[in-house]
Amino acid sequence: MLPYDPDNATYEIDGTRTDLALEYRDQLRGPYSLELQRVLDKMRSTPMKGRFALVVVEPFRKFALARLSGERGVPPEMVDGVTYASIAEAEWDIFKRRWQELTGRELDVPDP
Amino acid sequence: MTSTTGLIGYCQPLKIHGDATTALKVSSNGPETCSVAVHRIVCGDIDPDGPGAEFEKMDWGGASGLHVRHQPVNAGSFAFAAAGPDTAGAGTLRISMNVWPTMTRGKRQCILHWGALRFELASDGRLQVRLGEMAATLERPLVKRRWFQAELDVAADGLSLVVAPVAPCAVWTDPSRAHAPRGATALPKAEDPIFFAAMLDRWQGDVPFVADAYNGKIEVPSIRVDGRLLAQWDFSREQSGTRAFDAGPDGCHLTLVNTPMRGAAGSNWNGSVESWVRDPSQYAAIHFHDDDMTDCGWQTTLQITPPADAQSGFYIARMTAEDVQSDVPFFVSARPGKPKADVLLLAPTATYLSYANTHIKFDSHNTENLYEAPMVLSEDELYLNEHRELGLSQYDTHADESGVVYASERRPMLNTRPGLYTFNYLNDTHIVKWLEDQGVSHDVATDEDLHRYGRALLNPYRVVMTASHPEYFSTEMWDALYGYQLDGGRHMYLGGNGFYWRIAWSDDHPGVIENRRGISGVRTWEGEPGEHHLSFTGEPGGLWRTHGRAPQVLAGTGFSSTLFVRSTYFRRSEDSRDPDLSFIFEGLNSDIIGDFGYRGGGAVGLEIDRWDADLGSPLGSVILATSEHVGLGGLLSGEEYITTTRALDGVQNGRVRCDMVFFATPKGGAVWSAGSIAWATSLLWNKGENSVSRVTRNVLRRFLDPAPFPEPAAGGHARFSEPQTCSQHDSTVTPV
Repeated sequence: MLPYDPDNATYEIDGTRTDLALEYRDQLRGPYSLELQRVLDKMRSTPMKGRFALVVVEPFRKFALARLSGERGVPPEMVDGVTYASIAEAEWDIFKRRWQELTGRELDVPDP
Repeated sequence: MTSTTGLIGYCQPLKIHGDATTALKVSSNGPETCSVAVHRIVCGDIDPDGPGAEFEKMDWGGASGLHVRHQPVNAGSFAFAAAGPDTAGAGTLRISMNVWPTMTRGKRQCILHWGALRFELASDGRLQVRLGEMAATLERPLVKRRWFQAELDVAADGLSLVVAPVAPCAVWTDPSRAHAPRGATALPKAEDPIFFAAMLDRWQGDVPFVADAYNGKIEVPSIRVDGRLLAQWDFSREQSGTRAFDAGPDGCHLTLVNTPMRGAAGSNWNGSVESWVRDPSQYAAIHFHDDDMTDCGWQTTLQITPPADAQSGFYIARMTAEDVQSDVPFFVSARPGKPKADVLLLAPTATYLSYANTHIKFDSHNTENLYEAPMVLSEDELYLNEHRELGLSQYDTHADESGVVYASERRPMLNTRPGLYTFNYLNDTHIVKWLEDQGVSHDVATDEDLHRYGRALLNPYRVVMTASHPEYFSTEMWDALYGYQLDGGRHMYLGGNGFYWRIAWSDDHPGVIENRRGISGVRTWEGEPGEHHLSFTGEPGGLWRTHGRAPQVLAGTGFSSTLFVRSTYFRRSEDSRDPDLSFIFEGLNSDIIGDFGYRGGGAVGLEIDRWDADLGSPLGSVILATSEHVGLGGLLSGEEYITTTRALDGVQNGRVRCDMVFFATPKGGAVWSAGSIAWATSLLWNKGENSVSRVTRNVLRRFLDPAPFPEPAAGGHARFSEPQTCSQHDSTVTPV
């Protein structure tokens, strides 16, 4: 058995590297620079408990922000009042929220 | 919003031939009545920015005003006999067994329930024996994934329990004991049913519903009364079957429910053998899980019988009620030996089963990394997360973190129908629509048909198409398709990551496939040591590649990488300029093929394959086109490298690529392989006017032409090396 290690992501994101955030904002689906890839890998490897995810409110039209419970069978917890009209909009917002949580700095760059 | 889970159901069997009947079994989460209409799926992709969903309503099979009710699911695997061994006249009782618990916290788990006697693992991990109101409980909790030998006695002076680790472990070195005085409760009687790995909750007719299901292994349980052997279950026997054999005097064999894992390494497994076939005595254990579920066993709501001349294809029974619309998949398969077309599309139902009801978005830490985007959770997926009783996929782990090896069609499969989960099933309907748009008459059959009928299914067809992701192949399926190719057949492989895992089907376990993930390949769990052989057949499981039949042997190309973040395109190779191959590229005005598509914007994406003579790409096989700009999103599969380096992505590693391949086979046959899952989802771009569609159409037109392909000349093209010999059947064994 080789279970996943929820703490395996050890890369530290440099909160001053807003250039990487801008790179992501302008090219959500890549191609990414190696440095941005590491930022994304870190963000996508955060523990399941509390990890951001999207709940479909209306297929293809409306998505709500939620946090996974990390427990089998326990539904995600909705983040009150946060919805998106597109996946792209949601991915950018999740990136900003993760940036703040992982670096302690609010990501102060303009939205697309 | 219309609910997709207010009604759920399944069709049993999943595939039928015209004029046969499938039973629609519905459970309601609200509505009391519903209507059902049968549709043939032309394209099931409901994305408004997709190629356009298209359903053809049938004038048969439907009904309205159907009464529906909630139907429970009896999850958890267990073993039982409606009447246990006869203890008549006995004064003392001794029960022995070995246990290997895999979950020692959080819930009560029943290991044995027999009349008033219960042998349980308490929620704190301590073993306990109870007879009526009396209970003896160990002081120390068991250790997870360690073997313990347990002996419980009921004698005149009371209940006693002695437990010792089979091999000394860090926590325990000596036996642990518990004792309680005996109360007035009598020993189990002959008419008392006996249950292993769960507690009887209630009978529903003659079906036992259970509670407190156990997670872990049980080995060599035996019962003695007054020193005399009453029962001794030998789990090393009949590993492929559905019962547990009692070698005791009365033959109190147990029925196994919900397919607990057989071929499980026992307490004496020492690594000297890897297979239960080689030394069954080292495999006398069964691994039970509280979330095993391979047959919902629901009552039938509606019998659906297509007319004898129904077109073969992908079908749904669409259930509607107020604010509910929910689809149930089934297939009408072409009858073997009765083709209605020259082209056969194989619907990879083994792939659909393996992925059915996947929970990896909730359970698997690396899923977001694999898909390279935040998880988007649909109503169906949220429902599945909360309703684990609907059974897991082979991508999931059980609640005890062991891998799921069996997957069944006898349950609702909420990601195998038109909806928001597009992988596999919906992607394959792009092929169906493309065939129809191109005016290509075709039959459809399933993986199970290929397994069951083999060459008799394939032989009548001029062209056999495999779909976007024919990942799971049994030996019978592999032999049939390979034999067809060697005998002049033409095979078009429109996908990627095909022919990858060796699976098994079993007549004893209808509608269930088995897969062992083994220790290599892209996989969401790793098998336990010594447990990589299929219990259904005794064959080694895992990757076909490790059994001398890499996908390249069959298709000329085989899995190299995942590519989920964004797809890319092919560029034609210089070798493809050979005049003999010009038919493939007729009408193309560019060397770039597939720089568009509905999955990631390209025809090279999701999962991709590459040519490799060392792995078996045949003599004479030609790389027609190769991917470009795979980028950092392309990640090499584990079996594709030996030592770990940083250079495992599409920027740095040349194996992270996709090769489109053609080769001629003996007797005028041929194989063409796209080698990418996203190929199929690019066919319909621009209403089918595109280079992916053009290449596919060109190949199909030539493959339909009976004029034989010239057999490959020795030496062939400069890039070719000698073909690998396929080791036929040397690794298979006769099941015990």
